[in-house]
Amino acid sequence: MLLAVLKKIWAWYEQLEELLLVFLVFGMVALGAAQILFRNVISIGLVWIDPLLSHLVLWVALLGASIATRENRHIVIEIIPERLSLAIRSRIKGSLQLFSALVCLFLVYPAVQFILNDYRPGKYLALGIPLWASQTVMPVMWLVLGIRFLLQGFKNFIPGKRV
Amino acid sequence: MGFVSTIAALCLVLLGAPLFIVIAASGLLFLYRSGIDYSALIIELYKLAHTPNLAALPLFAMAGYVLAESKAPHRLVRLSNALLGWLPGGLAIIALLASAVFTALTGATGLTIIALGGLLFPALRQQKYPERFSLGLLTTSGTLGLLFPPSFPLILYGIVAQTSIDQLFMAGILPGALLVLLLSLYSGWKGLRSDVARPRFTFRELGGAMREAIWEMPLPFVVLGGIYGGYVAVSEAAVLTVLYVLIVEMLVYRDVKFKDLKSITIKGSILVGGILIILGVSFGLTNSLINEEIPSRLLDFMRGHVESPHAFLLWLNIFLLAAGCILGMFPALIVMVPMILPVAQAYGIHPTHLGIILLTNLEIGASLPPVGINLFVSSMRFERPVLELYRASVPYILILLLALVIITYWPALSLFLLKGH
Repeated sequence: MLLAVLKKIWAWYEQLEELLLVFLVFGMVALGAAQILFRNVISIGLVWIDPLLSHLVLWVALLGASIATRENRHIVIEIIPERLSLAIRSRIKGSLQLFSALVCLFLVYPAVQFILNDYRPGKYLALGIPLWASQTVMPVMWLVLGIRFLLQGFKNFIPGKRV
Repeated sequence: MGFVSTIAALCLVLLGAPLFIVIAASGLLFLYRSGIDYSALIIELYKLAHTPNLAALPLFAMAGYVLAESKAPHRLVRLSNALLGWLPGGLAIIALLASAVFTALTGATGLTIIALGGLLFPALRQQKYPERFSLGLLTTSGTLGLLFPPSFPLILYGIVAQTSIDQLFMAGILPGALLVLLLSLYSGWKGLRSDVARPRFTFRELGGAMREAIWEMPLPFVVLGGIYGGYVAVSEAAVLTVLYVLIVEMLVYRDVKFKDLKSITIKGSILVGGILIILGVSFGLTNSLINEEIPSRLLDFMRGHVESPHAFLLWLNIFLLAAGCILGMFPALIVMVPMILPVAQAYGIHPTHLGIILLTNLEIGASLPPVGINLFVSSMRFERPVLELYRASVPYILILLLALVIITYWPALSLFLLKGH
């Protein structure tokens, strides 16, 4: 029962992540276009666009990294001999994924620490978005990356489910 | 990093752990040993996002993937065929030019061989170009054009080395053209000797091809015009490029459908995310390098053994070719630059020139046996054993190495177009 609910939430999250990513990338294009327009045509510099764009890059990078994890598309330099049996290779892979999970989950803590240290009441990014709210993407995405690696790692130890 | 942890990190990388994980872990270890708060690593990741022009990376990637998804490669090949098909080795030269343009626009991400190879290989064979010649040509063209703006590695070098991206865009043009020119001369010579078909030049076909590609021909000016004219920054040029490409491919040619946008955006973001996350955590690595005084030790060592900048450049090239072949383009860029830059500057090498040398090396390294990535992409795309591709790419690699020597020892070629130089 609980497992089914968790699976549902996870599937829902994956949808959300993709949609959010697409929305944010096009947000970058729109904001960039607005900036060019306002500066060159109407000669008004909109100061809030630059910080917002920086945060959008951060979000896009972290969401992109998360999907790269899902698709097994991270940059690796892999020289494991192909001759090793599938069972051994997937155990090596599984162990590396569990190690990766450990690193990502560990990084949640300093990411939270960073937001707490940086927090000042009334500090806004732009458009009434509090700065801390946007920064939250960092601990959240380390958590998601950690979960992704954890699930893949476990799967690689179960025969028949190897990825 | 201590000796043991360095070996451990190396083992993890070689076993196939994601690079950013190993780099982040070594960063955390470094912070633990120096008694610094772990949030320093997060601060650097956060600071990275505030690097000027960083937005150019996801935007140009987006534009590149839209172009790759459209029929732009077909139109590009048809246009260059109409222009240059009549030359001896014409089709081979077309393959070179089209690959170079396509690589520059899509950012040297292995897309070129996949997108253009399927189009060009049968065409080359049909015109009776020898098989080995054609395979080698398409394999080594996979990264040709890397020096032309707005290629991804060019921007990435600018960000990592904190050098002006505008200047890099200028500096890459002549050396990039040299690579294309030398390979074209070889192809022309080969074409003359192997008696290949030479379609006749007609204004009619040229007119048709130009009419077809008329909306894509202004693209280089969209990318570069604003930057060189001083109207827009690099990231703004990227915005204009995306807008232009979206309008042209979706509304004018209608090659790309609205529903394709989601998968295109996600493809681009996987690439960008994969690279930026390494860059974001590489702070730990860079700082431990500096803390262990590796650049200055490296410099002392080099100073003790290598006196002239000329000899230094020779060693640098050998080292970088190996790095490009083994590490691959993006890891080599991110990991090597902070180490090499201070040493090279001590030998009086201009950071922009260094960037061009470095990228030329990585470009060649990508086709270099035993593990250059282009060889494997080609092997998959054309269904040929890798060994056959090793042999096929030998003459091209020799020519590219000749170009590398010229680019390395003639700084003016890179720096000539720079403003105020």
